[in-house]
Amino acid sequence: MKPRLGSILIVCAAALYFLVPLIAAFQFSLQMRRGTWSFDAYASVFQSDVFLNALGYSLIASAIAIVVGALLVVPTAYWVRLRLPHLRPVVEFISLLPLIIPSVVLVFGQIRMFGSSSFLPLTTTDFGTNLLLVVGYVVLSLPYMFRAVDSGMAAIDIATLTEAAESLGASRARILFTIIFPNIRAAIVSGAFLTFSICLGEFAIASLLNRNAFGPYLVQLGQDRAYEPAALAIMSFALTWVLMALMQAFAHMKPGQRLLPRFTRSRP
Amino acid sequence: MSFLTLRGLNKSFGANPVVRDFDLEMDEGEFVSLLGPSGCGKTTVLRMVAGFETPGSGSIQIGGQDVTTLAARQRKIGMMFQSYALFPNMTVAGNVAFGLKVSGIARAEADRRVREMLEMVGLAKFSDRYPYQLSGGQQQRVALARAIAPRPRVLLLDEPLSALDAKIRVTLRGEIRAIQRELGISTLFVTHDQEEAMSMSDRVVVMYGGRAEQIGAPDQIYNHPASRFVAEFIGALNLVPAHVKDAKTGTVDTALGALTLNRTLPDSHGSEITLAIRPEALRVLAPSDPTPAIVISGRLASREFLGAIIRLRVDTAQGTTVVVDCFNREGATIPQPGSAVRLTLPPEEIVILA
Repeated sequence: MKPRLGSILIVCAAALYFLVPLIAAFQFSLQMRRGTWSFDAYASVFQSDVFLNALGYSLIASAIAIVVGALLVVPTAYWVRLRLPHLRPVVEFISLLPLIIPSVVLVFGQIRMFGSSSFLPLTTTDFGTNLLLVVGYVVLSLPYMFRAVDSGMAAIDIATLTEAAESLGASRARILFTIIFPNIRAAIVSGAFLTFSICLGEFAIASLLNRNAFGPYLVQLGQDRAYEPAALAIMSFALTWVLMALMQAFAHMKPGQRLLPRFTRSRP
Repeated sequence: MSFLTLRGLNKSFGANPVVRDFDLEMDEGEFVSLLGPSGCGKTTVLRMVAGFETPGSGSIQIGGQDVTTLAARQRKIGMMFQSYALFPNMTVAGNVAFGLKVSGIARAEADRRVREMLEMVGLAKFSDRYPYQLSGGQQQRVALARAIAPRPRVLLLDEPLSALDAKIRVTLRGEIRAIQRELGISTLFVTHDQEEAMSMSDRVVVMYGGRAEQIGAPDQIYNHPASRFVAEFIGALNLVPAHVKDAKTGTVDTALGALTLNRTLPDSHGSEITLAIRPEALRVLAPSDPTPAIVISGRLASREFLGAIIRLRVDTAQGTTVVVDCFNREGATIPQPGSAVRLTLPPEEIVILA
């Protein structure tokens, strides 16, 4: 079927709308040194200890949030699909709540519940506050993680696979970790990448919990500097694209296939 | 004493009873099929034996042990599913080894058993492949190897051949039966395909409305159906309503004319009975043939070529239609549609249904 001229024009207009600001930001990020184009802004970002600390902190917090989120969502989605299918709309609604309730409300709730005057004053210690941040990230990632995992489970016949494994003597925990998790790996990875993107750019929770995370760092940098925020924006876009490419690669990978070819040393 | 005993099994889904007062006793090494139409409760019985459904009442014993409330994973059963249910993330060898790993068998012994099982099902060369790299027939062979590898007490087959094409179905049913005989595993097989049930089983349980209508050897069920449902469900059949005229000589009035069955009937004069006549019991008489005791005259309405068999539909002079199966032998003279035909059958091949 030939694409119509109207469709082509719409695609071109959308591409321009998206690409022109990106090209402009990229060009601006290269103009730190006067009179010539350079990657000075990028170098400046990477030389900053504050940047590296903030990025490192956010990476660790995101990774923990992904693991906790997967351990929470996968067994829940599995059990709901297997034994409580009538509760699926309820669980789905709960998982969507973070999209409706702003993260500011969530973090204020956390501060009120676990502030210095509460019965469990988590905000008074670094560990406690970090814990609240991770919990906040897990909640924020719920809609994406649950949807990804639930669609992954819809693609395999979990009921029959579970029965087959049970008939061979396997326990529920064994079934979950040796059959269900590996078979929805692509879905979990998709959910993980989405969680990672969201956590990396998250501002409200990290800022109000006074954490040295990447989101607050980006905002602070935007107020203080000119070229570095543009460089960071471009790097964030690049990271997002890489993650999306990886999601696609994982989604289409069959069991036994490798993402990258195995490199073997040739014998002399 | 029987090896697998099902006693008074009942099961309802909501207000809908699906299995009612189901009893079955199976000997060790026996191959029994549960045969019946969709919704007759055969799969529910199998799932109760597997432990995937809990009976409303009744008991299940395997090898003298009451397993009615035992979890599925503790029952030591092997199961094959219609959808194969192979673990997509594991290789063929990984799938077969799964049950052995779960039961904690030593690695070397497990590897030996996996090789043995894969050789038994003819897939030793495919051990490193993943399920998506195999055909349907190969996947079901792997499922069989996986089910029997841990040496289960009972093998349960839930319509394992239904998703396969006709030729592979026939080959695989022979292979399943041969392996079952070789290993001597008591096997309960669920199918809606009467040919499968008849060809594979030591005994067949015909189910209808959640109950066992008849339990018996395949030939017994085919030749001596206990009820109208069994007679109609197994094979093609002509059902002829009749009135008993003389119970002593077995003379009845039917829509095909008066027939003498040469046996004493339990029903008295005037009782209504139903005669069941298999299409292959009827024979088309050649014009030169002498006139036998039973002759049914009519006109050939249609003929249908079914390969080994040619199926004729004959409109009788009394206004009913009977189905006749003739062997498709070379040189056999099959009348043309519209021509007059005379049919006969041995009286002893007429089955009387209550």
